[in-house]
Amino acid sequence: MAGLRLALMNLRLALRTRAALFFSFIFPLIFLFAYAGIFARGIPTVVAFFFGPVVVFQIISASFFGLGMQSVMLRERGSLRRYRLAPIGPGAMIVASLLANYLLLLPAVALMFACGVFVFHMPARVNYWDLFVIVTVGDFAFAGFGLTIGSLADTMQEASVYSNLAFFPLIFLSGATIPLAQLPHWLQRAAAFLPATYLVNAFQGVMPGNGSLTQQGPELAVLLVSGMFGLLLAAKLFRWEKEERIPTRRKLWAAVFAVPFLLTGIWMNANPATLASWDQLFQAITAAPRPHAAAPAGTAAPAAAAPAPAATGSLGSVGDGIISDFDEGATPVARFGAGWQVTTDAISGGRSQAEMRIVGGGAQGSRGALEISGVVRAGAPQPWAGAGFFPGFEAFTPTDLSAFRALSFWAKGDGKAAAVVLFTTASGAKPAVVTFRPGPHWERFLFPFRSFPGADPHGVEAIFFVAGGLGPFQFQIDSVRLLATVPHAGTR
Amino acid sequence: MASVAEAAVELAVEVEGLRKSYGAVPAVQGVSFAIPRGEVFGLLGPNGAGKTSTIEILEGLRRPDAGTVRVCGLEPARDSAELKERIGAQLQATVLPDKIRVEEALALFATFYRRPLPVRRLLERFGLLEKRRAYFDHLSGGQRQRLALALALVNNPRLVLLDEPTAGLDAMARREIYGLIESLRAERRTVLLTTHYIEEAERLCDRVAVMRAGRIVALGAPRELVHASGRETRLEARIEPPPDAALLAALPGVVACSERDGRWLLQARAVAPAVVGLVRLLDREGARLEELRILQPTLEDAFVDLAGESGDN
Repeated sequence: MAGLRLALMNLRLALRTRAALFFSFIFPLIFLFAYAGIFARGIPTVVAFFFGPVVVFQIISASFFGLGMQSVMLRERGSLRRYRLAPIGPGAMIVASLLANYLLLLPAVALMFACGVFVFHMPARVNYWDLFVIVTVGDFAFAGFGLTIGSLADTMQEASVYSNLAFFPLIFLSGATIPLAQLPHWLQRAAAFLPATYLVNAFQGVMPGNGSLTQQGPELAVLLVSGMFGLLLAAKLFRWEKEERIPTRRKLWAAVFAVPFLLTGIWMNANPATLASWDQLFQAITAAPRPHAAAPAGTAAPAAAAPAPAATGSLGSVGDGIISDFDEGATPVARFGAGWQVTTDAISGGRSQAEMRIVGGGAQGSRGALEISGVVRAGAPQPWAGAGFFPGFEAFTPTDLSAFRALSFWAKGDGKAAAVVLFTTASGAKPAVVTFRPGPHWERFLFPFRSFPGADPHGVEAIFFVAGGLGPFQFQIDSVRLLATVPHAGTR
Repeated sequence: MASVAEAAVELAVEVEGLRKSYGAVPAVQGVSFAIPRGEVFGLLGPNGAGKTSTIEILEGLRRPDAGTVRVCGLEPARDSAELKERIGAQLQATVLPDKIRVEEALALFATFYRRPLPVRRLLERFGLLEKRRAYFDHLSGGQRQRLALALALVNNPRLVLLDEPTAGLDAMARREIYGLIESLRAERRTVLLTTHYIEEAERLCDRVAVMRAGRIVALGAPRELVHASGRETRLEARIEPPPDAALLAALPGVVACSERDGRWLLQARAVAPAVVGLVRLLDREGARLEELRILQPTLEDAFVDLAGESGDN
């Protein structure tokens, strides 16, 4: 209770201090605008990629230069002595500072997020709970780090030296400023030892990546453990008086703080896939889709002939399975994944053509639908044309959709046969195909995944809606979604 | 007859053979004293005499190197948490965050204790009601010190430890603080205060321990200390025409006689015989007594004798 009152008082005091307000709210916004404008060039999905690093930057600077150095300043000023006379211990003092720092961070992150969304149109379809957990764990870890530095330093000068020595490698070698993929390989290996790297990865895993919190589990666990080490160390080395000195032998206890990072760094370096994933994510966000890079070896994956604008890929989480309703905007928007793209046999030398556009008069009286039209011409070994949805953060990145049992959508069209083509890692070079015939009126189609021969929803790479034969075609689809249960047997 | 245990309970503070050094520098060298409940006790001495080290050991802020200390029947080094509930303390310099308001500081510290006093009552008592919304960095020295005293009283303690409560204050502010400390005495609270102001010790304290170089060199009521110092009362007289010095020196009770700028200074062990003898002598000699002042020895005189004028260790 006393710790909570002290935390709230610390927060109130921070809000009364211009410098604290500047460094808590204005400073991170300056960084967000700089990152979004310079590094992300204003591209919404790339802004989302850099959102995590900006938050990490803020967490680290607040923990080191706010929390850690403030603890030394209070000790040097003699402010802690008055508290020492009261029945309040080091634990409550530390928890109060940590809590105040956290309570100051949350609105700052919310402000940054709002700016990202409203100013830079950053895709906002992230699981807010995931984001909250990552911010919380990250702040906890670095608060422990900052407080440990504050406990080790005898003077403000020392604290400043320690903080800067730790700050710059953490910021420049973790992806918090320069994306990890752009660092030399040996520096990437070094980055695997830095806690800021884990936090940047955790952020980017859920935004813009569509990974779940579970996938960020190991990184978050390491941060949580290190945060606890930090707090224990800070409590063990806590000093009320500026004259008090810690024997060097006790200061060496601080080395314990590095143990989780050392072990994680060794583990990451032993698993090249981890380091490779940094490059994949960066390429997925900042470059045009490269199916050949993401598709598993041996899969004759069709190329995206006309990549949709980056904004069409929300790269959010799978969530409730809704893919698209086509009710908003002039281009097709997906709730998760890399979005919709036109797809044809041009990659394999074909001459088929396709286009997609949002049209009015959707199914069940909804506002819009996606019209897919074109012509399929003979020439390619396997001619096709249509539009495809990519559930991963990049075209043909496998995504686990095993939580769902079926694909449902509404369709109407020219009465010719059409097909849904499901690309999964299990089906390899031969995707699973089911056909449907969209007639003149809207009709709902429902395909259980088991109706796709050889497909496995654990690794879905793409879902194509294509013409069922040669010649011109035109059909519309609407309300495309994944269902966790299959309401009826059959396909309709 | 009270038992030993009952006698101990009647003592708010007991210090025996207390020692404390900072590296090779001794600060407290075998200090012993006891303070009964309800007494205002002063540690008087020049800077560096060991007063603050002693009081901070009693507060539990420093660990003694040797000796036994009991405060409210507790050992500060061992029973720190319980002790903090029972005592109130004011540091030599109380530093609070610049932007904390007076009432916020009191309310915050009140939450740390089991049985705090109402904040408004403290504001009223310490004359801070009008300043309750003021930030700490906007307070004058006297207001800060009153706030520090209010904080020391927030848990309604029976023992209050005050480290130089009027240091650096102007005369007006000092008198305000004196009034507040006298009110603590009126409430039968035990007060231990350190000071290097003799006037303060003489006015406020029931008993005073004079410290010098980490040791207590005298202990007792201010009057006792003056008496024990052996200083004589001085008679300062202006006489026309000037008398014979030998006659003045031979007056009853007078031990020494000197003259400076037409003023005669007589040091007397017994004042009444000396005054009577002087009046008779002047009458006999036909001289006039233009002016007569009787100067009693003060604690300052005793202090100068005991602690030494240099004030160093």
